[in-house]
Amino acid sequence: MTGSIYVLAAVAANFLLVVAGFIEFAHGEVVVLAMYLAWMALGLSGGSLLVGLPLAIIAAIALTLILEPLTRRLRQNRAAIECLILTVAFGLILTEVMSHFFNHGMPVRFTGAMRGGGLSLNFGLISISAANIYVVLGCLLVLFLFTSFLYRTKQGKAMRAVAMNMETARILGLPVARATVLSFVITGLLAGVTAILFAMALGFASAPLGGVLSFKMLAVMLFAGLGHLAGAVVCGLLLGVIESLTTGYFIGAWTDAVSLGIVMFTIMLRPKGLFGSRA
Amino acid sequence: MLSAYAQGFLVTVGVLIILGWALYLPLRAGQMNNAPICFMAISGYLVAYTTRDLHWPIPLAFAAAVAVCLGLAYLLAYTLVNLSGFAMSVATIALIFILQTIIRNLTFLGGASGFGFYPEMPHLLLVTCAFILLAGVFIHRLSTSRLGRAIEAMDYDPEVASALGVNTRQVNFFLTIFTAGLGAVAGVLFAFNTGTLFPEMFSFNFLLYGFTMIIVGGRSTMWGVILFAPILWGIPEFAPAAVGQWRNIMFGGIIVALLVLRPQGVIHKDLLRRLAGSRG
Repeated sequence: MTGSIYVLAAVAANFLLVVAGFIEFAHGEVVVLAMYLAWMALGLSGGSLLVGLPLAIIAAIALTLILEPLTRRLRQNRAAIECLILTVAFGLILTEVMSHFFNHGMPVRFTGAMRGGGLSLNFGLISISAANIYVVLGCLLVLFLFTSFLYRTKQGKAMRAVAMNMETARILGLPVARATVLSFVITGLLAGVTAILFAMALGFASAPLGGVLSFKMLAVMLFAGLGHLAGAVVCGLLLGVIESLTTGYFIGAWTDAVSLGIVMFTIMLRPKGLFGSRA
Repeated sequence: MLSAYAQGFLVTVGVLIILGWALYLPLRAGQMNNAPICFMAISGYLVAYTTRDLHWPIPLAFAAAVAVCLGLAYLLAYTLVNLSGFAMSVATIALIFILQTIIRNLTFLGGASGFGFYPEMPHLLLVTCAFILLAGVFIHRLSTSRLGRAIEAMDYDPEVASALGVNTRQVNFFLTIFTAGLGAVAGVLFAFNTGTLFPEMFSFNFLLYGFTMIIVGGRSTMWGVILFAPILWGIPEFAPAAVGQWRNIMFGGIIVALLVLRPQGVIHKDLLRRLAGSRG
């Protein structure tokens, strides 16, 4: 289930990397801030999903779009390290905003409809909550729609062309600037959906969660290979499975050390990732 | 005679200058290597444990902590030199997470409750100034040396640098070990200044402080870190508490603003050349 979240985050960040040419380290913080805003909207509207869910998506798109003008000059100058530092700083600002302005810095909880209404499916001794099922199905649906957009629409084709070679796409008359801005919008949209599914999966949100998600997202990207969308799907699920197994078999809180250790070991043996880099 | 608070402030600024240089040097070669923060944690905890629980004399504990970090960096460098760009920055951030998890699970290091230790280093401020002077002279000589020019060439284009005969693997190897040493020294000084260590201390906050000083000061020279470390650390420290609690937002905002408006920072090579030229 957490693997599905990693998949969505890594696919979104990979997509932005191949089209716009930089890694959005603040993606996790954008997701979590969208969760906080959804929580606030749900609280003010009496738990109405019709208010909370769209607000999460709109907030995530807006926060991601802020980065477009901020990073434009750095992207044009191919200042990759500076872009990474800028998004790290942006993410830290978002984390501090969540710590200072929401619920006195305490974690926020999601209940009711955001958690699948508390329903579950029972198969003998195994119980699967409705929220978990919604998360997995939601992830599959989003990936299907995203893939359809990329491969069956004109805009998707244009974005793939820009991702392959921006200069050639520009020479051929493709709207490179519009494709880049649209890539930010789509990444924000994916972040908003991730926020909704993450809220369903975890049932709570806290300020430090953003940094952890951003980092795990980057780890999945490198594990798979930068820019490799299909690889991100496989490796995101794999990381989720590794974490679950570690939690089950190791005493103490070793999840991060083991899962990140495996990722680091893989990166050191294969610097371009398991499936090869496409960026 | 300085008060204990003033001494503590100055030592913290000194630690940030050394850490800033440790992060600045790989950045000069176009790499974002965050491993010095890991070595800060390792040396800090090592010196705290050896002085408090094993009763080692401070100079021995200091030397042992730095030596262990240099040894670990030597092993780490064999794998890190093959990584470039994002892979190196993510791998070294992963190390920070992994190290925090390990420390949290080691009860003899205090775990998440922290490790408090009581030995005090005499003349801590003098020792800090001495290390800043040593490191500063070395880095200044390095920047005007052949190796320094090789590092600069790698920043412009690693492939062209390699084609021109720069052994990029060797340069990365040297930088990994040297910056680990700087990080280790910073960690020991930080431990003695703070007196209690928590795993969360060695995290994104230090990355934020270090990179703020580099970005504001200018990433193409070493002088910016010296000039801006006391200013950037001092503002939230001496400002009213209502302002000080926004330290991280201030630093993040400064980084974003500088990178958008003036990515070369306040002090950069062109400015230094103009100043040198105007003096004849």
